[in-house]
Amino acid sequence: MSINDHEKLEELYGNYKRVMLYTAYQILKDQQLAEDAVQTAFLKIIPNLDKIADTDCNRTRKYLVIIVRNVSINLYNRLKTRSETSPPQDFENLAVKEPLLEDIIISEESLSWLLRSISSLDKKYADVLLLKYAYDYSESDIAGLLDISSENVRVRLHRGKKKLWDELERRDGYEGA
Amino acid sequence: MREHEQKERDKTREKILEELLVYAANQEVERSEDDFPPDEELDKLFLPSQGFEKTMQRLIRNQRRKTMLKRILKMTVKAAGFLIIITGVFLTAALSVKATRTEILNLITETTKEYLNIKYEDRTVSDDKQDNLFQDWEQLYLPEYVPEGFEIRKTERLIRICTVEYANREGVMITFSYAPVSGRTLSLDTEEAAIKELTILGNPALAIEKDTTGIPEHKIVFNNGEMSFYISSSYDMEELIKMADSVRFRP
Repeated sequence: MSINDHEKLEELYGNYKRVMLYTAYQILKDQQLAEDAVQTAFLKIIPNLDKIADTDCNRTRKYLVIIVRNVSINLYNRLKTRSETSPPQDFENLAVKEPLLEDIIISEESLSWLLRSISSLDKKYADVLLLKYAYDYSESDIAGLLDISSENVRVRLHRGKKKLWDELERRDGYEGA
Repeated sequence: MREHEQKERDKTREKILEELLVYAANQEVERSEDDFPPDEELDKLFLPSQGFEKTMQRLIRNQRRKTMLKRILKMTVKAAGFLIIITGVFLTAALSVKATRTEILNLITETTKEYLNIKYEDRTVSDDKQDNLFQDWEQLYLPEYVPEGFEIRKTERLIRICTVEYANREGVMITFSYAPVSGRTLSLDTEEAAIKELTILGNPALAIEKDTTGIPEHKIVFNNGEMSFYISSSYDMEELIKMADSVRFRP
């Protein structure tokens, strides 16, 4: 290993504390809470330092932003109300209607559309998709990182994918079945 | 046969879709972000508080210690036994219903050379019960006994942790804090500290004494089965223990 964990942590903190504080503040609108969120985010990142190869790149920056955004949202929700129960995790739409193989293979345009649409997807779904497909986290690891249940991770993955495919179908008029 | 072909086809389709997502997701995270103002602007917007900077530097220092510890462990053949000492502290007497729950509430400590992690695990309290605990949070726990001359100077509540600071005329502080036991982990600096096991409120507790800087650091960690409590001060340890043992629920 060319760089120690603590050096990595120091660099991450130096490079991204501003962006992380900004992200947290956008959600929490309170500097003290934003600082708490950034600290909590780092506590979550520390056990995963080995997954960070480069401390100064878009990939790492986005990873830290995903974590702090989710920590902040959780904190915000917890502060907002205690009485609200979490939304029911219904599985009714879990059967993702996917486009046919030939439909996908043919369209290069669809691929570039897919790239664009991930970035415009609701962050709740995009974050989980990115953690799984770009950062290679397991569902249980994602659950731990985002403080949600594994079931919830699965639901978000399915819904995120479904939204992508639905949009693809709507956009290009594919016959999904 | 057709069914088999269809299955294979579905599998292939799924695989390709997954690969597509891997490609698209990787492209997305490599993409440069322009959603944020430049660093210079952020510097003007946010000046992190001193307390925050201090906390983060401590976090980094702890990581440095851990890295060093890892290195030492790699070089030490029989190091595994040194790293983690797990102490389950149990009550053994005949117990009431409440006490039975407390019995299973273990105070788990992970001790390394330099710090101590304390985690409460309750295997009997369901999530529902924890939710109820949380709703009871508005009610207050306070010590009935406070050493002479000390008065409440500051109270603070952040999410699940309630903190009360006492001070006397000489400026000596006593910090009392508590939170529901569920999921609470306390990390205490125990390098060169003396740790004593004792019983407070009828439950296992720890008293930690450290004096490396000339100013004594006294900490007590205890619980009542539902809340975990923490007292910290440079004040006399015996007085702090007395204070801890007097913590009561105030509806």
